Amino acid sequence: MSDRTVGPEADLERLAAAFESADPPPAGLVERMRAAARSEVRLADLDLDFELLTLVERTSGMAGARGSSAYTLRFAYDDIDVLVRASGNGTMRLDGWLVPPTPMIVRVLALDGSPVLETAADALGRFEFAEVESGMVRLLLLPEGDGAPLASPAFEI
Amino acid sequence: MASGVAEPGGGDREVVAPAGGAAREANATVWAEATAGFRLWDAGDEAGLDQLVAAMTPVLWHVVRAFRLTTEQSEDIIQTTWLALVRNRAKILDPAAVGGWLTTTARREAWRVAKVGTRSTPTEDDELTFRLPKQRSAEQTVVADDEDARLWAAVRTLDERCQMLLRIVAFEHRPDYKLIAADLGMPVGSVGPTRGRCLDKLKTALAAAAFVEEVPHE
Repeated sequence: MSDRTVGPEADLERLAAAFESADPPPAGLVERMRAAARSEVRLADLDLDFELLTLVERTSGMAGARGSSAYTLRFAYDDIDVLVRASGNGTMRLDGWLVPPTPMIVRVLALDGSPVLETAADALGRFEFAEVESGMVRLLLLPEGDGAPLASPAFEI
Repeated sequence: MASGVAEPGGGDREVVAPAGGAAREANATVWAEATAGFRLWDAGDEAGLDQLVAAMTPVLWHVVRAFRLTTEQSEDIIQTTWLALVRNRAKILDPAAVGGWLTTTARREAWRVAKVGTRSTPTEDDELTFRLPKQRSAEQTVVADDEDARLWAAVRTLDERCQMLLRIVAFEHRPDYKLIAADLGMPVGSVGPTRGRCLDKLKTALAAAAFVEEVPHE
């Protein structure tokens, strides 16, 4: 038996196996990360030099499959907050608020390559998408005036 | 570094199973896969990016979970790490450095989130994701299951700092202790000795559990 079967390195390898066994990554994680990474490449190809929104807060709906209740996500960049409420079952409804209200075009980019949906935020900073297919999406916000384009991370609706 | 811990009295069993060789190869293989994927992507093939993501995402999962964050928080951080990679790919001059770049980025973001805390409520499900031995796949040998379960139970008796450090170091390929110390707010030079102390404590915990299990019935 070689020396590499005992000692701290071997201990750590056994530990890694125990962690992998007891707390493995959730199902589908790799796939979702693949989709997210590829979506970032697509956004980079748009040559828009957008800033990335940070997910600040997430309030979950009650127990049950995603899509069967409403939940809210709050993203932020600098002094702009973007709130999104997803509701529905299967086909989802997205209601959004920009705080403070900012004139922006809002797009929903579906990671599976479905056509991009687009709308405009109104004077109160509100926007809505009545029908969005369940799945992983990203929001893209394009200012009508000055300001940086913003993109949310991918999230599942 | 010597791991000279005396075996517990009356015990001649190996408290940490010597499976090091194969698993160490696996770790190096993952890093090599990542480097190869990055090179391929650099050369213009997006399949390389897929390969990189597939290779390193499980590693990042463990690095981030070491900070005791929820599954949702952990996934958010891992995604942030991948988005950062795509945005900053030009900054990675040496493809062999991509694995370390990813784990470092994930570690720092996890640290930040753990300190600040995002307002998401952990659910009971997060505890239940720690699988119980009975629910494991039938293909795994009973012996391996028992050892994994014993190790896991023993790790959970350690203090939080040991648990975090051991998990981070276990999944790092050629860990840079200086960098890890700085990222975790530990004194320079303390990671190695702390790792050693934590492993010793782990062995003690394993031995104690084995002793309890071996109470003879008369």
